[in-house]
Amino acid sequence: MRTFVLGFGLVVVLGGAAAPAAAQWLVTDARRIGMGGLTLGRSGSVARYNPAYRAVQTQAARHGQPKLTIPIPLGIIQFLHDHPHLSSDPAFDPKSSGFNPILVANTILNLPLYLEVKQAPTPTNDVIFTVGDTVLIVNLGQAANLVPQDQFGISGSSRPLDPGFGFKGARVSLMGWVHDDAEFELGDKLLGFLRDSQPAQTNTRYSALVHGLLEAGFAPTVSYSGRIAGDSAGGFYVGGALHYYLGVAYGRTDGDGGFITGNQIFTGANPVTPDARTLTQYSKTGNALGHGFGGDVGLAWVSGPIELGVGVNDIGATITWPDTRQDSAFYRDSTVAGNGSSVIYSRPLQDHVSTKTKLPVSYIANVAYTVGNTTLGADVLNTGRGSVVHVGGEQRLGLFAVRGGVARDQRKRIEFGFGGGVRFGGLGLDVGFWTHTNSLSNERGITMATSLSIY
Amino acid sequence: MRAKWLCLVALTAAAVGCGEGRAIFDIDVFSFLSNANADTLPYSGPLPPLQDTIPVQTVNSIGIGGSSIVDTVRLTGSVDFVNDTGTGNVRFAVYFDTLKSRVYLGDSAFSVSGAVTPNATTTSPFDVDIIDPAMRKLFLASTVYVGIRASVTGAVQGTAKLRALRARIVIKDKIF
Repeated sequence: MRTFVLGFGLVVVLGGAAAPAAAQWLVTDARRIGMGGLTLGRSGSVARYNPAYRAVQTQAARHGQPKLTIPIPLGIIQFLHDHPHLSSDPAFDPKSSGFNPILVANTILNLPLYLEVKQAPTPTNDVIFTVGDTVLIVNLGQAANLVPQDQFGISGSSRPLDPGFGFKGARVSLMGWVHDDAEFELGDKLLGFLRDSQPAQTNTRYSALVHGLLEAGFAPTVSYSGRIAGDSAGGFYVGGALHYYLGVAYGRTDGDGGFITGNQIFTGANPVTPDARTLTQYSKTGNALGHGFGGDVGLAWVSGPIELGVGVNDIGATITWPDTRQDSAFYRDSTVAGNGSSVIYSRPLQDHVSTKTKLPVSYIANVAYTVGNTTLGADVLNTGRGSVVHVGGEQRLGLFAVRGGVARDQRKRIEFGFGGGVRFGGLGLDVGFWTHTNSLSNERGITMATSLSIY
Repeated sequence: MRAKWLCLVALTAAAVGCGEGRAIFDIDVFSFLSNANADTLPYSGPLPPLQDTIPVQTVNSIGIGGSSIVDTVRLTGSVDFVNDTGTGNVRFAVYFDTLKSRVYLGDSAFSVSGAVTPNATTTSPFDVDIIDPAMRKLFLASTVYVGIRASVTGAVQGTAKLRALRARIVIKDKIF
């Protein structure tokens, strides 16, 4: 029973922290962290989301861009020092009385790659439960601010592989693609109960909306990127790609779940009735492939010290799945009310029907300005769940470099980065600090990242 | 089932919000008694006594299991001795146990006394810290049974009316 409850608690903890987690990025480059997450040069987001950048020549020297970055995982050393016997550490064992879901959640949300120089404080206020014969009130205190008021979740699309061949800017490839989307939203009643300390009410449904989607496949792709004006020192570049998406498999569920209170909150044999229902749709591997067209476009302009770019991905990427099964999955225990058959879980609705999914349109806009040993830049990236903005810069001073930057994450929180580096010939050591709010806290923590750069 | 429900809500909320803080359960024991009309107990003395106990009542408690550490159990409230005749003392005792049949067999959790006089009401407040570890552990159960007993010294007759009884249980956070 205790394991079940703690497990459920951990799920809620992780679910509740999904929004801040989605708002962050796992970056292994201390330079980038020092610039508030800004990417300069051909690596990173601009090449991924702007097909025109595949034709823009690398200007590594101008941006101080290393050929290779190797992270120095000081955080792992710290973590192993703090938890030398991880397999038997009671804090990570749900069966132990010392199990700590807060620590587990924070460890997952803040993977201990880098050194945490300032821990974001988790709420330590008391939580008060007022229990009476017909009353239940939960007062989370300041920690109630962590209960998400709006829809939150994690989503994104990725292209893990894109093997192909090209000639004079034209390219034919076979691109792999994956799209995931998980959303969660507390209903008004449950939100009021947890966040506003409203008393639990009788004969009331407390619920949350849930949406999950995972789809994957491959896409034969024809693309072009090239300079249409200017020369190697500066010019205007365009890029585009046409994809024929072939979906291998997908699964999707949309529903809501919760419980219904009885005539009295804490009396009677069954004071609450679990209640959940979802529409589940899936097309398994081996079914007829999903299919659909979509495209990417991008522009880039390089003129002396200035560089501008705009890229949009997965335009019109609607995928038709011709062989989908739909199930109505639900939980209903009619024995509770005593007016029906026993527990029912699922019922097939339709099979071999056609359904559609849509890949999120992603876009990026970036600007960089380099003069002398100074590089400044900014970018805006939206992968379908809010925009992330990075503004930062780097000043190189002989062997040394100083960096700074500001970012606005998907939670619309402002984060700061700063750092520096030293370079000896082809080898550099970089240190970057960045603030983050991806802990179970509304206060910021500070991470120190370290990495070696090979130029 | 209700224990699961309370337990689920409590621990879910605590896991979200508690961190290293404490989980405090404020249980209105009186509400369970009054809704069952078990908050009033006539007394009479010295002999023959009336029924000096109430039928054992059920209170929904925390239900988070015995591995948690109870930091504090504090019982507060008051009882009115509405005395009709006689002068003497009335003792009002409260019993808890996790077994219904055992409620009145052990020692009381606490008791409070009041000196009574004819046609007068004596109010006796109480504020008791339970220090017996075994007694504290009782409140970790999902269901706690409660009983009250009134006993008198002197030739008195009247009614003991419970006005409030709350249990404040502080869990020291080994579960989070």
